[in-house]
Amino acid sequence: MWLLAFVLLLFSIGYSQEFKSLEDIAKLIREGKIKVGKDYTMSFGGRFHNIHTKVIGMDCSACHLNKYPKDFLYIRRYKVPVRGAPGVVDRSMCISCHKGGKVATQWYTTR
Amino acid sequence: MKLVRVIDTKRCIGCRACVAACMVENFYNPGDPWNFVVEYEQGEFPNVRRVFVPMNCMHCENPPCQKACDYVGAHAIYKNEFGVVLIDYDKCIGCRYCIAVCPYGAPQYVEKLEPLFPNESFTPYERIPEENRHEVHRFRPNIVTKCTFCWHRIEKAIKENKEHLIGVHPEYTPACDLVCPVDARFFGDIENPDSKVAKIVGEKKAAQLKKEFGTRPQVYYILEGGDY
Repeated sequence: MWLLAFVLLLFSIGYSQEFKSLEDIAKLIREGKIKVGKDYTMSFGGRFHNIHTKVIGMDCSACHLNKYPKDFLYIRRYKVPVRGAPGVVDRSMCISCHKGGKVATQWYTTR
Repeated sequence: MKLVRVIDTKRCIGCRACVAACMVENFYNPGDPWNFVVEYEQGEFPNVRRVFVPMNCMHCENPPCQKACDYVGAHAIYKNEFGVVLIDYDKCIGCRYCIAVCPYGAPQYVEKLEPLFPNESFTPYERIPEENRHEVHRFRPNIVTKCTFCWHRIEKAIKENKEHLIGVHPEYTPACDLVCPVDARFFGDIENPDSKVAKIVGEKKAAQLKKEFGTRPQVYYILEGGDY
């Protein structure tokens, strides 16, 4: 019993040291301490997908939808999915991290 | 001067004259349209209606495409003093970050130049040498293109000191706004209180799309039910 508790304690300490918030991860990427490559491309294997899938661990389905809603106002809606992508992407998914510079690089503003 | 467009979706009949005019004027790469009409149905039978929303680059006041372009270090996208967002094709590296961040899907990646008529050779118009084209029409593979508010026409007005005729005279007005058969499109300087666009926007009859992104588009829409 004591042995099990000790192991759990060690595990919890180790886990707390490994866990980093998204803000910390974003900072480490910007500082170059987390290597995500310098290949600025949307292709899989480039920096963009390295950050979102490998570092943050987002599943494809977190961003890619089967199809857009009928009234989705998006010019390129007829053009997707592109090059074997698992589905289309609604940019409203990006707001939670990329708005107001809270977590990730700020693309969108709060007006 | 801040140039804006107003599109009345209550008047639009979905004829695509604006799309055709844009193609003829700009001869963008087929399959990479600068102007596109999103079409959908509303309601349930028998109370149904069809909605047409012509879309092009919104020339945002806070363009996320420019931020992304600066972030990757290309600095190809810029917004000029007239509020027009343009792409310098000489600087574009084709990374498509601008496409990833645009909530409206405006930027179009040119993978390779296609002839207008599939399986045929390029038309004489498409074979015009690059040096004889305006810089916004010098297309090549691996760049991103988009609507320029017909910058070549606006630039002409500026050079001829006829800025007051932008959106008024056909020669100095974007092609898509000229051809609308139902007067659903307006273009002009929103900072001129006498302009049609200033009056429509000032009376709060037009709204910007996807305000939640904070991009502050310079294309306004008159929508069924007013602003949202």
